[in-house]
Amino acid sequence: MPQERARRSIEFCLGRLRLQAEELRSEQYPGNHPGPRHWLDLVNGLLDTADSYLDLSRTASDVDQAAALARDAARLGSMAYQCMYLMQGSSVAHLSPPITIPFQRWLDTLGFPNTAIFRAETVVNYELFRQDEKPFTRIRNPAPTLVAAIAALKWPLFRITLPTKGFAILPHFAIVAHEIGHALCDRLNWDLSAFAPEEKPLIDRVQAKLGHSLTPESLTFFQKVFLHWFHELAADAFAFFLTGPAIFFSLCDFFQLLGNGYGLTATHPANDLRRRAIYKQLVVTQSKDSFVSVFQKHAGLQLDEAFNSGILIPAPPKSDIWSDTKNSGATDFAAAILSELHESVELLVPMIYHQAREHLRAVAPQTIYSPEAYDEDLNTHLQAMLAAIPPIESVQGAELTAARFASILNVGWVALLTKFDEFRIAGEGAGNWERMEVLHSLLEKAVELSEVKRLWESVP
Amino acid sequence: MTVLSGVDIRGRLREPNLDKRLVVSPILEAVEQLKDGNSSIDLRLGCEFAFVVPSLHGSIDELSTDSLQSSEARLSRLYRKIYVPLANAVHIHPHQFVLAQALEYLRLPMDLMAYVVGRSTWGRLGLTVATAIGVHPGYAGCLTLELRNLGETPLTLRPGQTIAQLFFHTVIPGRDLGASGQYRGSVDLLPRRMSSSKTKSKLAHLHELMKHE
Repeated sequence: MPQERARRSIEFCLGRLRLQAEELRSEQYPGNHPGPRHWLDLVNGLLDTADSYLDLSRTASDVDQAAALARDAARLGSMAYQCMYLMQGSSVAHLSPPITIPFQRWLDTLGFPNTAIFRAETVVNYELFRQDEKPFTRIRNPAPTLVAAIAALKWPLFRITLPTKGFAILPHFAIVAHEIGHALCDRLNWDLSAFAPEEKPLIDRVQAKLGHSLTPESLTFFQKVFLHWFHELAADAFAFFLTGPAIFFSLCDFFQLLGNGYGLTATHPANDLRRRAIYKQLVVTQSKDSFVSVFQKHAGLQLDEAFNSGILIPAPPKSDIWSDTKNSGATDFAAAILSELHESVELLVPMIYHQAREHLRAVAPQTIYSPEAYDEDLNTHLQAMLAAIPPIESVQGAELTAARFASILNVGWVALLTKFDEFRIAGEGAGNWERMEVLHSLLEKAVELSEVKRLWESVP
Repeated sequence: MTVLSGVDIRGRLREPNLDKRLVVSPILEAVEQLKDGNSSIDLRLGCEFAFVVPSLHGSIDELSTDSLQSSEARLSRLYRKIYVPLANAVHIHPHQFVLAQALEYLRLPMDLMAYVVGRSTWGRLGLTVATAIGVHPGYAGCLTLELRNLGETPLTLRPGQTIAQLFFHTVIPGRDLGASGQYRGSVDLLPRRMSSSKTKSKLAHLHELMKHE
């Protein structure tokens, strides 16, 4: 009887989980993309499997086996619940409906077949989370619905998280390109041979600081930090090629809004180092112009490194990084590794940007945003934007075509940062905030309507 | 004040001078929406809708001290907004009232005004499209259409369908015309306020005075 009471409790919970899954299924998801619904199929498959375990538990002749089956049914219920948690914040109640369409197009164009879920969370963070299929394929005697759901999903599932409303500032969405850059990062066989001569002196410096050799634990930490920082810089590089100056302005603004000091942690290199890495690309002349020269031509202002990050705190000398890290409670080896790696990691930047560009040129050259495109976008849209004409369509020959997402981001940034006082639209109130909100709403409308146009034109 | 012909409308849409340019964007099928010989441009149904929801409040009164209505912004709580992707269906039942956004972004130069008029096909099916039909010079935004099904049969609407038409008039120049150079409008379909703040404050003042008489 105690076992049956447990089974009834599990049965009740599974029933409620099913209801919750059905409620989620009835919600609307932005862009009508299939990710959340495929994921809910998986949830249903887990619940069907849990039900079958429970049925078997009731008929099992062996008491221990019956208990094990009931326990496994409960575990599958918990798994289903965790899966629903994974997609929390992905409905239109949390994300502006058309906004995920250009994100999904980035994934499609770059050749990612992975099922994707976009969601918003009230955390000042953008994140790519990958969920692989292993926890699900290991399940014994899966229900046919679970087998079908696993087969229908393209693994690993990508979950891309954006902040909710307060921090969901449209031009910042260039940072989503950074998250997609993390996925691209995994695809490359990076050639880091040019960094090899720096490795030994770097380790020597760390060991000198510690006064002894690196232990296996500290070496593992070192490798982890190196990999994290490398991935962040590489993701920045991909975002730069996908969105041009928009990622520079987005990251700089986001770092300032984060208020996280100079941003150097075990997972992220210093903010000003990342800013400098992108800025170095902005000044590079490609064919005839650089992004900086195009910016100056249209904005009439010199684009310097601190253009929209005047209060960003630069990383201090490495001795201060060492003491700051120590004061935060980190170990000696962590402090030594972070401070010394900070000095060396910038040497990686040129090779990272070179290889990222070459990869994009090979797989999807049309996604690269060039100074020529920047010039054309600002030519077509900047003055128009100030006269309340959002960048919905671009002129291509005699035709009007849907504006690119990167174009909207870049026009938005230049208008916000350099021409805001010339913006000729009255907000509901007199303050800057209200007028910025109007400009922001026009950019959102541009995303929506450019996507409508693109969709319409895709139909023969 | 004259009505712009189709040729005039096309000319204004291509006008290089931004201050003179008429913007209706995107025009998904130019030939269909701007027919030769017509003096209007067809508007399509957009993707955003707002359904009036039942509320616990007796009436909508801008002077009410009721917490719901004390803030103009909270008028929006009287509606449930939904987003219907292009070509998907939304049903409007007999006598139901729904706000819908026109698909196209409209920006009028300072010397043009417009009237929104329902298309006759929909009118014959019982659908009225717009009641606040005048659009002032310098408007910049997406028009909100007030849809009501006056017929006896439910109607299925799909974002992307042509639903209304815009007629444009030139405005006789006056000293005030476009004096501020500022465009006004919104891409939000919900109402924000019923009166200007000055009118509202005077009405509230008068209301208070009369209560004590």
